Amino acid sequence: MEEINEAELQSESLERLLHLVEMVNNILKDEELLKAISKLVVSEETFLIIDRLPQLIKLIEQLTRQENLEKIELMLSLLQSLDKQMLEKLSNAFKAIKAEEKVKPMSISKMITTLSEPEVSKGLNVMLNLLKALGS
Amino acid sequence: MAEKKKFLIVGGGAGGAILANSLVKDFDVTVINDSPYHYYWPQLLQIAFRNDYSNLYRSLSSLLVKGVNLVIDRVKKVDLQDRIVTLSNNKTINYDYVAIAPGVTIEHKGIDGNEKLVEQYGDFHSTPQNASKVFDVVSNMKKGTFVIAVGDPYHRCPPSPYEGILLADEVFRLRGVRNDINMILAVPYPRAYPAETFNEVLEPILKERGINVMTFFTADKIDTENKKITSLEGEELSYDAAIVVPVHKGPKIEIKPDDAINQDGFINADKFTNQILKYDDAFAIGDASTSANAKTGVTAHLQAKVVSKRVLGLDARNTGRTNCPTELGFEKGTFVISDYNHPAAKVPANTINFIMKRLFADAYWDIIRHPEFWDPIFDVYFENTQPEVLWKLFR
Repeated sequence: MEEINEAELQSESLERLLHLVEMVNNILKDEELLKAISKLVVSEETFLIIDRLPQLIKLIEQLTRQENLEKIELMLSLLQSLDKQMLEKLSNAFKAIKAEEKVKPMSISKMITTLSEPEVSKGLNVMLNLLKALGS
Repeated sequence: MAEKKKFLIVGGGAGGAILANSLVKDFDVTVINDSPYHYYWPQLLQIAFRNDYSNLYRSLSSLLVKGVNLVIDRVKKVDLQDRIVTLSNNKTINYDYVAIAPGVTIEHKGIDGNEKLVEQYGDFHSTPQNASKVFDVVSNMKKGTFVIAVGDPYHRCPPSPYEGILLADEVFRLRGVRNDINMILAVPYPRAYPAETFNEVLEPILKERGINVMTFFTADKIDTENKKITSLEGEELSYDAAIVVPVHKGPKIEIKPDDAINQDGFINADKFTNQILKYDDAFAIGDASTSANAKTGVTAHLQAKVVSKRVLGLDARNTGRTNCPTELGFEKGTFVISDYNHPAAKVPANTINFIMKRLFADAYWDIIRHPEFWDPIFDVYFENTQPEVLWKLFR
């Protein structure tokens, strides 16, 4: 009886193995699939990754140190808290500074007038709050 | 040892075979199928546009695990009240439980002129011979208008019309004749795809590939002499070669009581449990059932798992999960994934999804044969790709 069971088990295992071989065979005969896998594996991006693998591993090692992970998380929460519109304004301001080749001198009266503009005083307020937070 | 209860399964397709293999340890299972073969219907698209027959069919007996009884015969009648199934030779079989899963009946004559059209240009929903005709058309057409139109929104494999037109586009491009062929996809829906949200994935692809979409066009009549298709909405569409998705009806089986089937012959089953009416020993699964929110093998597979758990006393329920892997040509693919509570997620078209689609297809026979091996893998897959999760990933 035990011998029969053993033989049955072996026959079932063999059958399972044959089914797996059939599946692998199906995959290996699937030209479209193999073409897609080849295109995905052999690409400019994968070569770049392979070429820079030592640097990437070093970078990952540094980034995943506990103290750095905490800093990254803080940076991410800072990014999330930033107002998109404000950032766009800031970026535009930087672009404007870059575009202005020469800084024109400003008279004291013009400076006082400019300081009283609501948008400028709002910006100064933000800067002052930031400086205050950094100093605390 | 108590005698096992008799579980009869009408139909040995994806749902029937998976159910049989899942239940054989606990029940005396018999599968009745009208053919000794099990067909993998998505392969019709591969025949139509790639002339690839490799995964079309296997012998059903090779897919059923040891212990499942197989009867090759046509079922004439199922009497749910008396628990009796009658075969074509009038032989009767009684049961303790029955699952009806014979698939659909394709009715070309449901659209006036479609029988003649299929003779000329074939289709990819009925037979390998008709799919082969499509391959002849797309391999030889040099110029003119190529149309794929939908006459029945409840057809098998919802993405197949746009899969067909995109694969045809691939063939025409590879043959260098695409610039001389105008391609039209005519659908009854307000947009290219019936699942509204998925259009954000599909429509840009169709646009990029230069495929014209005609909406609110339900193919109704075909004039094969003048090469014109008229829609129910009253519009006309001229073609040089056309494929019209045929009308799908329920199985040609008499089911008693009469209210177990709807006017199109589909079996009325609960969408959560697959139970037929008040009969807690009778279930309908897959394409033949009204409970299938998408007529696909994956839906039948998931419904089979629900039924197999319910008859063992577990409170399993369908979530309405769809998982339609779709090829778009040029090694790109996507998935149409939704459930009763979430519309189709916007899964992007890419090579990884194409590879996954192909791996599913190549593993199909093993998935049917060995649910014990694949069930844990699919449990993880379905859990991690729930529409709720995908909606967060792909906004």
